[in-house]
Amino acid sequence: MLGILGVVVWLGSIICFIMVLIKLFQDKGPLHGILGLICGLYTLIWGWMNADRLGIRNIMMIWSLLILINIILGFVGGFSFHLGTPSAP
Amino acid sequence: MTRATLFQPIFATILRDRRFGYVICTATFLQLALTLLRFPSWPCPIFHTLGIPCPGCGMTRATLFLVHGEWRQALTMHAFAPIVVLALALITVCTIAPRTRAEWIADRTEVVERYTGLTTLLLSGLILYWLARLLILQSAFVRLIQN
Repeated sequence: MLGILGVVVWLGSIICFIMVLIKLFQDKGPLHGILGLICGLYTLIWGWMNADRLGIRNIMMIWSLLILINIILGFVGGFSFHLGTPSAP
Repeated sequence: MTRATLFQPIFATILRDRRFGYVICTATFLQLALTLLRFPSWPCPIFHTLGIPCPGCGMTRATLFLVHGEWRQALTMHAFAPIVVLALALITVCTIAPRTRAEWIADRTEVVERYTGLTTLLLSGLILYWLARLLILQSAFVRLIQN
């Protein structure tokens, strides 16, 4: 059950990540886009700092909520519920 | 991509934005602390969804190895960790230093970026390094990230 929830949370998370990444490519160019692809944390922070200007506040809220759910599920599932993979990139 | 795009200053713009630098530093140090304490932290969305390590996968642990002085393990985990640590140190300095000093560092960084295209070279190198690990050492790479 926890595993299925984890997969759903991850799918939602990557969809939001890709949407913000596309905005990053469009707004700041290909090099910043590549940087965002390499470092998801950069994309998350950039997304929040430009959420109002780009009208992506809802996406950012959903993405952040999904990350929070994942971290909580990580605690509930003994830190490694998601398909046996590590929690750090 | 034009020459202007390739030699466009990227890192200097990050160094100039002190608010952005402050958030980046806080989030990164939080990530490092959580990983060090073995708590759940920021996970890689690509690796956890697709099962393919992203170009930055292993960087947090490599950075922690570096902090502990374990160079060999750090470089095995991610060869670009020393560069990322250096970049993080520069962002931290520019965030906490007086504005004039931070501007001086950002100006020098911009000159280097405009003349050498260093950031573009490093980003391209990182992508090539990732592709090499993914295509040549695929199973070993995935095992390394999973462990």
